[in-house]
Amino acid sequence: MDYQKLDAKLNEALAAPEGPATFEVFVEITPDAANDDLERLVRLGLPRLQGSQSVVTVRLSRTLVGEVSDVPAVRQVRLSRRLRHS
Amino acid sequence: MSTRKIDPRLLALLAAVETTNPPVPAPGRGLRLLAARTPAHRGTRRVAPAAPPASAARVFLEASRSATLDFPNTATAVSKVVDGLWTATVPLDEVRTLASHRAVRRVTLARRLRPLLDKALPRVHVPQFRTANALTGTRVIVGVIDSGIDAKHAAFAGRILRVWDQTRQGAGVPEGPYGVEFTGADLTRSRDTDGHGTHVAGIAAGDHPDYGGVAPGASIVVVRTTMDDTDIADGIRYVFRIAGQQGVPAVVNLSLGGHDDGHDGSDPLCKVIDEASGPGRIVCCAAGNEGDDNIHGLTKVTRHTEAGMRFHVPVGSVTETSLTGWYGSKSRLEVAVRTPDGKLTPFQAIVDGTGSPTNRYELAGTHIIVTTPGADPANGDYNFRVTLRSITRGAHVRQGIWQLRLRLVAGPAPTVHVWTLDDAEFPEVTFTGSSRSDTMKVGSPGSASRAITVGCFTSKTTWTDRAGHERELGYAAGRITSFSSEGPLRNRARKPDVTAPGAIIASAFSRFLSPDAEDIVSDDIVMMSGTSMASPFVAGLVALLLERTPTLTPEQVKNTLKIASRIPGRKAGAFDVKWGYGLVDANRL
Repeated sequence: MDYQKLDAKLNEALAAPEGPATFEVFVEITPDAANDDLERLVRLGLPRLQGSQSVVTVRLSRTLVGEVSDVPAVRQVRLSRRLRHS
Repeated sequence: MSTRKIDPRLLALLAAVETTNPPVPAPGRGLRLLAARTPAHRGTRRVAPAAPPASAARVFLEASRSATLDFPNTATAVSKVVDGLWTATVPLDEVRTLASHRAVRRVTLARRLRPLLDKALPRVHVPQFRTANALTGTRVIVGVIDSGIDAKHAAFAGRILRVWDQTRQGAGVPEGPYGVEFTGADLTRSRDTDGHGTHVAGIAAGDHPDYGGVAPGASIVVVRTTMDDTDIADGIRYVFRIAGQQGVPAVVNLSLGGHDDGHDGSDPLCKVIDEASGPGRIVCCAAGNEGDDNIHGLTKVTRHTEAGMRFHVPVGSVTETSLTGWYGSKSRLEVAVRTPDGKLTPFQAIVDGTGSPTNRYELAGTHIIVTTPGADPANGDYNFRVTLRSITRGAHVRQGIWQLRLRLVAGPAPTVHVWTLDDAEFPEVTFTGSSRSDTMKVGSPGSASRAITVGCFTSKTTWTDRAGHERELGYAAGRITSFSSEGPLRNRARKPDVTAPGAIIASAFSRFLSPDAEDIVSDDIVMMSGTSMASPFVAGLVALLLERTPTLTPEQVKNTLKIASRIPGRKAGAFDVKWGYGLVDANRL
């Protein structure tokens, strides 16, 4: 687990003694990602990047959060936020 | 005595009938009459109607919430609006009988109301712009990512292409393997039980004789969202894919937001907006409604002094509250929390090596969770997070004045920006004392650089509900609405972009909604206000612009809107953190 790639809220959620089993997250991928890294991320369950996308959404288990964060091409894994009507 | 249940205008109407004693024909649809349609009474209150009297009247019936009103042996036709409120067409000779019904508490003559969205449109010259350019939004998709839509509402008849209901269990769409997509006759299987999305869609693209929206010819794609920002991001991509497949441009409206981000447009939802936007693909966002709420605090932390930021947790208000703090990466701070009774957690340093940066403390019956990771990969700044939760599961966070304590351990004295977050419907936990700052309250997704971010202008301050009561909100007409969130962003980028009418706006009413009776204008129209209403106003304008020029880029649209906007009393091109570039005027588009 590369904690430095996880945002503060995801770090907090992972540290909770009774945290959820899965986490809805954004995964941001570096623009110069190696093809091997991208294929590895697909194998870990991430959708394939389309066009100029650098961000994907995915639901990950605690273990997969760790594995995804360890991929060099991953810049950040950020936990989803619940928004309000404005 | 049933007379006491009858409102004075209706009594006056009955008196006029009884005085002239006209023959009373059998009631029918053609006899239904809104008494205040009589020109002499338009805009007046509590004035007896002129002769000739009507033979039947349209009324509101207030009854106990559990009442079931039925008048089987009369010509009275009733229709339930919400629990406790009914509409009815009543022959005048049956009004007193109706009022004597045990369950009926009040019988009020309906009024003919002035269309308020129709006031908002002329205020910024939308009708003139549409007429001069022959524009209605045809061959443009308006995407509404919100609480859903009442697909049976006449204002949208035949123009809703698809609804992706993310809240339903299903296999989803290519953008996300969840929810259910509805088309055709199945559109009505997705319901807008909140009503917000239907109202928003009505402002952008509703077609209604009195309360029409800005682009009444546009096609509509709806995402009923879970409100999670990951799902909202999927929704944006979904709308733009549909538009691409149809070969038409699209504008997506996001009347939603939050403050759990760096307030600089670097969070992933903003990145998705910036990436997905392009020629013929535009996103409009509400600026936010936190202009009156002290959710933002700032302080400068200097060496050898401990900075304190006081924040108030009201009694019985929230079960969880958090603070998210941001400062530049040249400095290093330690973070602690002081409870209302003076207990202090240990100061926690940045954890930028291996291992979790989260620690948990228990003080004053409260779990205090402090997270101090290394620099944020998205913007390079330091971010810390503090969460308070009662040790007793489900109990409210201890009320009182809490303090965030900060001390500088390395680098230059930084300015630290902190936002309060809580789980209430509206912000409850706020800064108090010298650290509160009435700026930088445009969060994600309004902070996205390519999004058009819209503040709220007050075009109307009073309305008459359908029970005939005059209602007023305490806003100043013709000015920026006080609750409209201020910019700029934390990186000093200018937001909001422009301002549009958002208070008070009448628009489409979802039949699955149970609003306060005072907000109901008619059977299919309800009042709402907020930057949520201002954003679809601009989204509708963008639809008109895209009909005229389908390949406009976000930058071209934004520039066109800026040039068309003015802050009252200021020169063209002036910017203000509350107004943006000012109230948009369609005549200048």
